[in-house]
Amino acid sequence: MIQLLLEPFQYNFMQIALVTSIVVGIVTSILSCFIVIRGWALLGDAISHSVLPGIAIAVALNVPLVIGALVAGIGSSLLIGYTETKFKVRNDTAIGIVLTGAFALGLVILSRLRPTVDIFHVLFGNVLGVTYDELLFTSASASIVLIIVGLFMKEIVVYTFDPIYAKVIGLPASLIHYMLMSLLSLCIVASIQTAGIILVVSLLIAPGATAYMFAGRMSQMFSISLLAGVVSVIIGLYISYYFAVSSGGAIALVATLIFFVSSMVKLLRTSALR
Amino acid sequence: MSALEITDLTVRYQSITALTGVSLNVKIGEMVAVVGPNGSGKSTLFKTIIGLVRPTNGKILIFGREPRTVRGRTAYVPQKEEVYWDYPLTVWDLAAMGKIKTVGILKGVPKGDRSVAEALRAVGMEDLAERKISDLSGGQQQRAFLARSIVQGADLYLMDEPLAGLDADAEDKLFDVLLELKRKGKTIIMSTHDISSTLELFDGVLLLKGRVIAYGRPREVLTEENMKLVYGSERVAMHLGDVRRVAKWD
Ligand SMILES: Nc1ncnc2c1ncn2[C@@H]1O[C@H](COP(=O)(O)OP(=O)(O)OP(=O)(O)O)[C@@H](O)[C@H]1O
Ligand SMILES: [Mg+2]
Repeated sequence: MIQLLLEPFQYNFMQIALVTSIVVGIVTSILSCFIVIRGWALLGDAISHSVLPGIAIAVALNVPLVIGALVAGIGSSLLIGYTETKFKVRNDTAIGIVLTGAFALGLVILSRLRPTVDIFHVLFGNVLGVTYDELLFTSASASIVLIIVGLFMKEIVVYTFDPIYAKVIGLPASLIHYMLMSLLSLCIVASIQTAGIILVVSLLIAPGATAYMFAGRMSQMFSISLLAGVVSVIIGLYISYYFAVSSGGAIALVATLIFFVSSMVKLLRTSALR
Repeated sequence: MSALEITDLTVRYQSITALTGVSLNVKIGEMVAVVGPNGSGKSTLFKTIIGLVRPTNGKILIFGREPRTVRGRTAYVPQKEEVYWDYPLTVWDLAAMGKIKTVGILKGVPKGDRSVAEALRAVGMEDLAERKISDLSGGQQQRAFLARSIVQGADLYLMDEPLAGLDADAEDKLFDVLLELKRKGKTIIMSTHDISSTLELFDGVLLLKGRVIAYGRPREVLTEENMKLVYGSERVAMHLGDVRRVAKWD
């Protein structure tokens, strides 16, 4: 058994993959808490999709991917807000339109550049091919996100819980909002190699959703979410290695399973109590 | 100096004019009720005072100053629908939010903080400090929000329909807290649909229907003619007769 668990990590690429995945698991599960509490699942989905044209344009212009992705992520959240308030459409409609429009734009551009960028890897991740430099980049992005969330935790909680109160007492509410959107974009960029921009959404929703069922306070919410997220990426990585399946797919699948299994446990427990 | 001074306030949302020419003067330490039917502009009035809605015309002074400059002194207790109740926060967490501007950026509120503990005691929630807010009753939620405002050190309390859905006992408990705040010189303005003898507890009643129908002492404002102007229904006017009798105004 131990043998089975350790075997993959005699390879350097697996060690890098493991560390990268854990880093991604940590940062996504922290943001996941806010996304789930605020019902931003669809918004997270939209931002991750809109990262695609950002990456495409960055490739075309030969600027760092992270810049393109950040601009696209923040730009799309602004566009969603603008569409919703100015054109008077419902929030989910605005998100749906921006999401598909941006994704289509990215696909169109990338299909012209195909030889240089593997769309499949951008969309679904390829953690077994992570290089050491990419690991450093992922860790740096994740650290930035975690540090900012840690420093402004109070403000983020107040804003996400009661946005009107935040405004009334003079907190910079829109600044906090767009900071969160930027962090989300950065987190998605950091996760491209591990889970891909489509499947990272599962790590941005499932761990928080799992935690939400059991947590009585924020600290519990974060710990449970972290546990679910990190366990998902580790198990997913093993599955990916032993069964030679897509890493992003395996990780997302485990995260989803953990959510459903804990839901069942909770359901059985509450009905047993009655 | 007045706690709140509004002159000729007009608020328009695109095509709808929600408030027209509203002038109002609330003195420090007064408790005022804003009464009017659905859509009469009560929430709009509050949102304009706290700066969420920009007035088309008119002037608002809070403690004689521009609202922007006295933000920490105004507390707003939102209508129930406006916050995310499912948030995994305890009553203590909610009350401690009142310190967010004073505790300083990058720091947390210490668990043993005195002002939070005192505020929770003031609203009678000290035993429920560790309770999750989604597990509170409506009355307890209102008092938890009041605790946050007290921690914040607010001097002007704006409450949008805090009595909605409260039973008589919860209402009593809320008024106990409010009257205590009033005794400490705080100013309280609340909207309500509850036309009952509790209005007797207020110093002033503002009868609103897109504009000021009447403003003054409860017994002077809550007359049959005024109520007919606002509600246009005989039933409300009859109900008013009972209210006046219970309050011994007639
Ligand atoms: N954001 C908005 N956009 C457009 N019109 C609005 C908006 N908010 C309120 N209104 C309109 O302004 C008027 C006053 O609404 P407001 O919510 O202030 O009334 P209210 O007295 O609080 O009603 P209720 O007792 O139902 O809470 C109504 O006609 C309403 O339709
Ligand atoms: Mg209202």
